[in-house]
Amino acid sequence: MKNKKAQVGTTLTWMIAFLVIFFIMLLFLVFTSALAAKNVLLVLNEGKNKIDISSSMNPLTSQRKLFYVLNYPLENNKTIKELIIFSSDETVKINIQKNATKILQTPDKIQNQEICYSFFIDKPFKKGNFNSAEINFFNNKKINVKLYSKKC
Amino acid sequence: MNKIGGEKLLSIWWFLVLGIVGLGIVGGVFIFYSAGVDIREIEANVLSEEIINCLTGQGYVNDALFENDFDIFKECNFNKEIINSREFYFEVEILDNNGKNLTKEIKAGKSSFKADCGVTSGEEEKKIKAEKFLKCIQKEESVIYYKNNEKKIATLYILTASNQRGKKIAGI
Repeated sequence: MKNKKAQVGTTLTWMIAFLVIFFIMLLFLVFTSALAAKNVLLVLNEGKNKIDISSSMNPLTSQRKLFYVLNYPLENNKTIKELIIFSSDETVKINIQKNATKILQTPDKIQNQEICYSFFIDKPFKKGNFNSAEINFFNNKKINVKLYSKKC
Repeated sequence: MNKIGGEKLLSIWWFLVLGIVGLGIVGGVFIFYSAGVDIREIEANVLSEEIINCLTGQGYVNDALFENDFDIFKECNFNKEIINSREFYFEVEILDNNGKNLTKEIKAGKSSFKADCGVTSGEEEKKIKAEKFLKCIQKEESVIYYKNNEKKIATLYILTASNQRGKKIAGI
């Protein structure tokens, strides 16, 4: 009788332990479901989770476009890059701005959707959802050139 | 006797705890790894980015592109077997200001995909929504090329498509 009572006590401890472990396992399953890809129960048999491409461009695209702008042949077969490096007067900024606007008038397209650009020279900027490419030129002064692009 | 009975009573809870822990771990792993992922659009986009990056540099078109023996697989380091035997397609055109193609025909993969892309992409009101159809990426970029030592402007058109459905991560 004494022995039996002792065993009932241990069993009761395990009954409580069982409930605690059961609750912990339940939490484990809830957190696993939350961390797993969405619609997890629906995709057990069919269907796939879609990975979305951000509507903004990737930085490489912006960088490619910036190089295109810098190397674009201007009048007298010069480029914007050469203007920046070899011009020493302040008019160079106006000249670059004017030419860049003309160059960027022909937009690139992704899925028939035009790409918007934002071009800055030595100006503060708001980043927003744009991806950027920037180059600093050093001669006797520093010029910051920044090009931002995203789907319009 | 009573002691043995007590042990029997205790072992039921032991087995229940073992069972719950085992089932919980198996269930958790099953939920986590049974998720399927659709990467067709990403794959088509990566393919088009790879092509643009290997055909252009600093805004200029790679000169090799205008040579008669130009091989895009060699130039871009693509595996011909994988592109041609699996669910991929790509097409590249470089058009001058007059709309004339400056290169020989560059395309590979499943040729029927081009027509299929026309169904799901294009103008918003004309395209059809097809969840289980292939995914296409169409890009247009301005590029600079040299002709008779003179810099000219052209437009690079790229169409890539992927219909690699893939499998669920756990292969269930």
